[in-house]
Amino acid sequence: MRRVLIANRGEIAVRIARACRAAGLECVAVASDADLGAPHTLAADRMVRIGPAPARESYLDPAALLEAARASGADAVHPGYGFLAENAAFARAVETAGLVWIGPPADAIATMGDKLAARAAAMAAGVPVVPGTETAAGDSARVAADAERVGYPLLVKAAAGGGGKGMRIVRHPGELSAALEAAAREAAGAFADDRVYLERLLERPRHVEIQVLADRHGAAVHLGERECSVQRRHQKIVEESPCPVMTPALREAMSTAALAAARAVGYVNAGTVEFLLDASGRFYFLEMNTRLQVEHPVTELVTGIDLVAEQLRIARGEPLGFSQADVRLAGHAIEVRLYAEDPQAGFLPSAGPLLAWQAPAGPGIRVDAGVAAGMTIPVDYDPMLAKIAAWGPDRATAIARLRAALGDTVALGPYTNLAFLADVLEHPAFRAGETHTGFVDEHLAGWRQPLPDLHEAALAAALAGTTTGVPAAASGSLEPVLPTPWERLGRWRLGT
Amino acid sequence: MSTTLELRHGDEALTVALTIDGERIRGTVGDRPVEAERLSGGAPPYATAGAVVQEIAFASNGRTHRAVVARQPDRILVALGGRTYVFAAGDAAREVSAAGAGTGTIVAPMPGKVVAVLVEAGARVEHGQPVVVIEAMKMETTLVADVDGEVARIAIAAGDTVDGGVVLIEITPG
Repeated sequence: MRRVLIANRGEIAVRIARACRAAGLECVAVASDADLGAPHTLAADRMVRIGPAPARESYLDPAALLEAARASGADAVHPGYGFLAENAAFARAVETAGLVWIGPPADAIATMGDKLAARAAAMAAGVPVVPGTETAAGDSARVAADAERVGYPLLVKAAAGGGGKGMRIVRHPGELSAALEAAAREAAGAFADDRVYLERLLERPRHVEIQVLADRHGAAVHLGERECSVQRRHQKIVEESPCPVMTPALREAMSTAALAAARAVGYVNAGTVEFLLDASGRFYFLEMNTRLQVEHPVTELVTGIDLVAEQLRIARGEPLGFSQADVRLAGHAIEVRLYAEDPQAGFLPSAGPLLAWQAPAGPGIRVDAGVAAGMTIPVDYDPMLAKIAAWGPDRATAIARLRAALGDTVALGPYTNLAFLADVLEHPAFRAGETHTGFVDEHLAGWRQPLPDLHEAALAAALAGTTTGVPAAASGSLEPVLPTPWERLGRWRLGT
Repeated sequence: MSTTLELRHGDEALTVALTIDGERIRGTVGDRPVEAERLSGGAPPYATAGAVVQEIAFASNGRTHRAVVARQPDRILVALGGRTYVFAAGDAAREVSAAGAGTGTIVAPMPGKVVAVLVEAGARVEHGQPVVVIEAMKMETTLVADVDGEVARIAIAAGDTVDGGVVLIEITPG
């Protein structure tokens, strides 16, 4: 392995490029037409154009990526997360092309990518799963009986699902058939697979996941847990390690279960086993993410282990350089995801030019960003701008450091969730570690940005106009600009 | 020198009137008197995407502040203390705020794909009723009627790809 093609964009592509450099490997970035010159292309040694802006024609196009690998002389492919990272067919195609796939075996991806198959594999390995059905919902009489057995409220979930798509909450038997139909239709549209099944809806669970690493020689270790309960739109926005309510006994039980699930599918490389943890301390297998996670930095901060470097080593066939006893969890780390989105409008994604970007710094602060001032945040991809993480010797210190770092962060242009994240960190329930997957709805519904320094901000706005002699407002001396979609916006309202 | 700037933040109009003598600044922000000292520091201004961006450092009421200000023709964005303040400026600040009743014209907030149209032409809709779902930036967003009225025209169908700002549905208020 000499040259790694990074089949991704944004912050994770930058992150992987850094790990390649540190490992003495060359790396090749790929770019759609929307990303030419984007930070991830400059972080790599070379760049290959792979197609137009829409992801389907670029970052989701296996043929374009394989051709980029061939043309650039790459001998390995790192998929990052999202896009094709959990696409078993792509993993196979990479290996068929004679390239090293920096990820798990295609069969493990396929099994864990099918929620029904994953539940079956977990149960066979003795891992507790959320009570539910084990086959796709079929005729209505049997489904109704199954639903009674599972118990209400329950979830209808797509077997091929993810990101909340193809999922419906059912609180009463009368809602069941409509929910089954809606979920199946949505799943068919999103995943070309209309199989759905039932799972009991756990109320106010924590989302807790175990990071695992396995080499090709049968060794597997866990790197502790991450709690990722604070979510909006079924997507995590705050992640931490350790989980505030973790005990040594619970960690032992969860990590044993996670490693059993990983071994059950012959797992190799980095992966994450996700669980729901209820208030009584019972935990249930949710799914396994067969890739590097967005939130992997918090694990790196508490373990000191570079997960991407380990991925590269494992892909090269090297044995893990350490054993479970060598893994030590030190202190506490918290990460927030900075998104271009408007928390006051249902977290509607935002786009357009990023006019100013200043990342914070300080003791224990880590920023993984894929943006630069002057670039345009494309409408074609996930709107995450950066991940900002803080480490401290204890949770309170980590929160304090991260809160201060958010105050030093500047991201001007699109709407962002920066101030929202600060208010999550300041919330008494968050500070008390009382988090669950409904945290945002329970504590921050209808959130409005506080305006503590409105007058100072207005003063700064006025002073800005006096510096260069350019009139502060409505100036013909500014270059004309093409309006962004946001600026062309008429009045519109957003549902909740 | 003296300078006056009319700003609007949400529904709140704020007139900033300043007299600047070297580093010393006096005047009013809205109805509040202000006395401040301009501090040097910060990176030089730069222009990008039609905006002029600069750092502004000042002290007032015993506190120092460092703001990053991006000026566009019709608005000024200020990053201060981890929060972003978006001011309408100039003519835009003088426009009457459109809070409350809408116009009945539902436009795509950004380029995307129409996932579902939830109403039919001729249907009665109420303010706040979901009318169309679009997917953009990997997220589904539900747009709602901004008036009570009757659906006069549906310009799109499920599966259509639309540009930002395009009219999707027109509702005749009433």
